[in-house]
Amino acid sequence: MWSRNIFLALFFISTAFSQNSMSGYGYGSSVENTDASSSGVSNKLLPSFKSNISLSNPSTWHNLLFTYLTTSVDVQSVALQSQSSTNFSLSSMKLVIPWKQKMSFGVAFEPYLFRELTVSDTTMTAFNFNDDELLYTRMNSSSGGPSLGQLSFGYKLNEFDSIGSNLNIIFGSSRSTRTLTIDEENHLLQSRDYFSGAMMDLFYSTKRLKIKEKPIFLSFALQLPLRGVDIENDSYQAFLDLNDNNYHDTNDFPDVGQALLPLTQKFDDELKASSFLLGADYEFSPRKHIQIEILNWKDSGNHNLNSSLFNGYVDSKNKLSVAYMKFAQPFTRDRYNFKGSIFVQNYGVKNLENINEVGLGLGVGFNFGITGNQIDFGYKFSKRNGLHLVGDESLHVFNIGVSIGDLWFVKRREI
Amino acid sequence: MTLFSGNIPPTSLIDLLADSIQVDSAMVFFETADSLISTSNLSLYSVLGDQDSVFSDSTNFYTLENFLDFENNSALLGEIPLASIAPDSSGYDTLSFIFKDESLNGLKQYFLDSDTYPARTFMLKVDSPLDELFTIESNEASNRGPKMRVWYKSFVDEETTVDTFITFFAQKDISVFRPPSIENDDVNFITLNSGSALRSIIEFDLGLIDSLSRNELFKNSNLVLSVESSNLTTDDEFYVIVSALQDSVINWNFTSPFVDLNPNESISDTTYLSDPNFIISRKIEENEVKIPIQAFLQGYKNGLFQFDELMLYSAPVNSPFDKVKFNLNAIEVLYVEP
Repeated sequence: MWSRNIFLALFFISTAFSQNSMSGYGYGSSVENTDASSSGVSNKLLPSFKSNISLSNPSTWHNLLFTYLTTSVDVQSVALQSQSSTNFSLSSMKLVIPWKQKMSFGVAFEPYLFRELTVSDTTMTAFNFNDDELLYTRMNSSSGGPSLGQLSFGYKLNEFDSIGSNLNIIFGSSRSTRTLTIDEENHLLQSRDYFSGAMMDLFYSTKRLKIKEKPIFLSFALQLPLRGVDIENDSYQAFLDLNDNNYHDTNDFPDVGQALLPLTQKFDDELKASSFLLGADYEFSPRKHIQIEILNWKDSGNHNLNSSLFNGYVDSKNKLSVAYMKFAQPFTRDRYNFKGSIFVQNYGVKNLENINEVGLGLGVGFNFGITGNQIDFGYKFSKRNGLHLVGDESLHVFNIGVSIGDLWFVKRREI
Repeated sequence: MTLFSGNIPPTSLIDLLADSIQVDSAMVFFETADSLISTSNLSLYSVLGDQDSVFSDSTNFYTLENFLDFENNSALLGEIPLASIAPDSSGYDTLSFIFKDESLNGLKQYFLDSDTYPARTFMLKVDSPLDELFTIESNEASNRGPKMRVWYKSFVDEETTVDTFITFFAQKDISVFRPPSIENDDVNFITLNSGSALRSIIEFDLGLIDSLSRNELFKNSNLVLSVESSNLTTDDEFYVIVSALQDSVINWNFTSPFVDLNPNESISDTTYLSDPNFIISRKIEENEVKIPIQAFLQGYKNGLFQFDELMLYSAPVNSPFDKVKFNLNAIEVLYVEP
């Protein structure tokens, strides 16, 4: 009954209207902490899934005892000015396969950018034509966004050091619609962006440093563009949506058969993101950790802003997060992971005001089953200011992740 | 004269004049769904042509050069008043010409004797002009077309006489009318009349459209024609059809405003064809007709129409006698870009 109620609640939320203001910058807002276990600690590199494992850091995966399939969903609620909106989405799916505690492989699928946003750029206005007063308003909206397919590899170099890498393939599309409503008639101008690009993430983790005989876990990550993200923009001819189905068909004006062919423009190297991450984790008491991570991110892409809702884009980002973790003790009654974190983040915005963000993360994970299955709940609250048009907004993100473990590549004992 | 034997019935008009046939009476009758109160009389004539086919109902234009002069080659057979024509509960009234005695002789002489007068064609004509359009069902109206019924006796043998009747059905018909004349002033206005085939072409300077961006959408673009003069009465309805052209008027092969047609050609056979992607019809209301042309403008912008011309003509549903002169008003166009 409990699980059914959760499902009904999530289904209801998923039908609601969704947006967050940063989706209007450039090609959309980036998606952070796609797996629920890292959501509560607000970092990527440092252990959050098990005591020495982060699902976002392949250089830690050789510590896994089992193969894990993990799936996360998130519910995002945004409050801006006097409005609020809620969104439900699948945030990631990942398969991690360790091999002989020496190396590991992973495959993942997750969103890369998020463009769900509707912005009204006029208030209701009137003008006269042939003695008739016509009322009009204009809305800009975008939806969808590129996704990221990820192939990962992790390798344990020795007792102290390990490395990892991700090959990220960016693909998918987003849609933009401008709606001019004149006397309840909707005139739509639609376009579609198709994304393609590739990035590489390199990871290095070490335990060589120690404080009071206890090792400090240090991890570095470098993200480099292998190929900048190219964007093909198909712009369709404007039409009067006579049947109000938001789709250009034979009942609209002009008839879809009489419309001009889409105008295709190709933009190379629109996104070219690189970043550096550094994190440190210290177990100050058994299973209790203190963590700190810093991020420096830059985008040197061309950003022609052809389909951007706002005339600006995020070209740099700096983040500092501090977290506390208390891990469960395997094979005991202590099955809970508890997480708490705070973070500050600054977005450097080209053409518009910079944005500052302060946030809080909380999380709890529950271990069950002999293979260390885990269900994680993460909650993140953040407050942003300096946003274009709206000023401030509050963001609540609630993640749920389920990780199921199993034995793969283990030689069965013969009797 | 053909002599009949046995009980073979007459199969053609001339058979009714056989020695074995005695025609007692005849009736030529027509049906109408219209009502009419008039002082005019409707006269029935027999066309006295020397050909067995005197007209083609596939031709829309009748000229004396190519067709028989029906007016001067016909014999009056009968006359009925049009004083009170009113359909009954079936929706129709019948116009009947009865032939007996003296009048029957005229029918026999000028119509049944198809050896002498092979045209086998009746002509209907009013003796004074009607002030409204009055229609009679044609041979294309199933079971309600013109008919002639003849009652006769057939002498089968010395002891047997068959008293019966035969009905003849019309095979072809044509309406010949004199449309309003085309005056010099007509060509200085947008003048429409289906009877005289008066059409008008309007050419626009649409150069502005080429400078618009591809996402401009046309709205509220009305071609407004105000009535300058007409012969319409208060209750008359007049529909104007506006269409795009498949070929520019500059390529039309005429040298005067009057289109010369080959006798075997109708206007629909000519190359002056409408573009089926834009044909629209509107009724005159409050002394003007307002025709939305945003689809034409958008189609021209999208390359669907090559020519910046529109053809205006009277709808077939209009009376061929109705003639309307219009003034063209400036067109205000609202276009928007989302």
